[in-house]
Amino acid sequence: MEDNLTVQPRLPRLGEPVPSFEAETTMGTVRLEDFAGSWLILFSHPADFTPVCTTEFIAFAGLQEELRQNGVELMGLSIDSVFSHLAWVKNIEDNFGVKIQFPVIADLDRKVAGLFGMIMPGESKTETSRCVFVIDPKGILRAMIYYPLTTGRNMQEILRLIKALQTSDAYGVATPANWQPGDKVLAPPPRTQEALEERLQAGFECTDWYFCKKNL
Amino acid sequence: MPCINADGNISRSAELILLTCHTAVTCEDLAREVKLPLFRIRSASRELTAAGLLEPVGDRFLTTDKGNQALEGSNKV
Repeated sequence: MEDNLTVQPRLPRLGEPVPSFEAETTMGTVRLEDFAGSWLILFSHPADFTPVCTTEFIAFAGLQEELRQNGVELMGLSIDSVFSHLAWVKNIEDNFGVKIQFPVIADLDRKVAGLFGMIMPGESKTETSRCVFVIDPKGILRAMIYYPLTTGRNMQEILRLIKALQTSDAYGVATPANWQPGDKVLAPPPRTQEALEERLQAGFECTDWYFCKKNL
Repeated sequence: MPCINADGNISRSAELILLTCHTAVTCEDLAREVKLPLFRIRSASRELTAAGLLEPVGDRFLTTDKGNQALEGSNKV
């Protein structure tokens, strides 16, 4: 009964603004608003000094330059202290030769993790799961990915997702399954008879009236 | 604190920002000038403003007398 009455924070939903926050990071105090105008990948990891997370940080670092060229910033998070984060990123540099050049939130009070629903109590009550939130330059949540503690994320899929979202925004199109940059895109289905007839005459590659592809 | 170290000295990135803000500049110009991402400039300028080392002038930032003193203390002017 008591659980039913407990007010839970409303978690972010796709297409809506993400909750604002200010957090201590390895690069100082950062606010969500500091990323305005850039895409942001906000991701959580379970804990510092753990093997899967280490492979993910190395992989995120390897992706950072390409992401930045596409107007995307990275920010990590876990329920660890900033001192733990600093020691871990130094350890990664010493052991693997990889410099971590994105901020990592020290979310000891779980404030940000709670706002974004990063803790999955069925898996762990003390660690954040492997969550990815793709936030656009206007602060709108555009995509979410959740992976369990045991399974490292696929960075190429995250990069593909960002490029697909940016392509959809730029050209007003959708992207098919397994789309990669350079592939044909899908024209949105027509919503009027007039648009349908125009579509059929416009030289799109149409399998049927609702299924038309085109090159960009 | 990325701009002001625990010993009270300013960091290298803060020095660059204070040096660049001898004439009023926007965060976007600062990011290009000191080659740091915009989010870091916004965060740092907020911190330096709170410490009285920078002052906002419209949408630009200018190094204050206290900021210049901090630079002198770090032998950067």
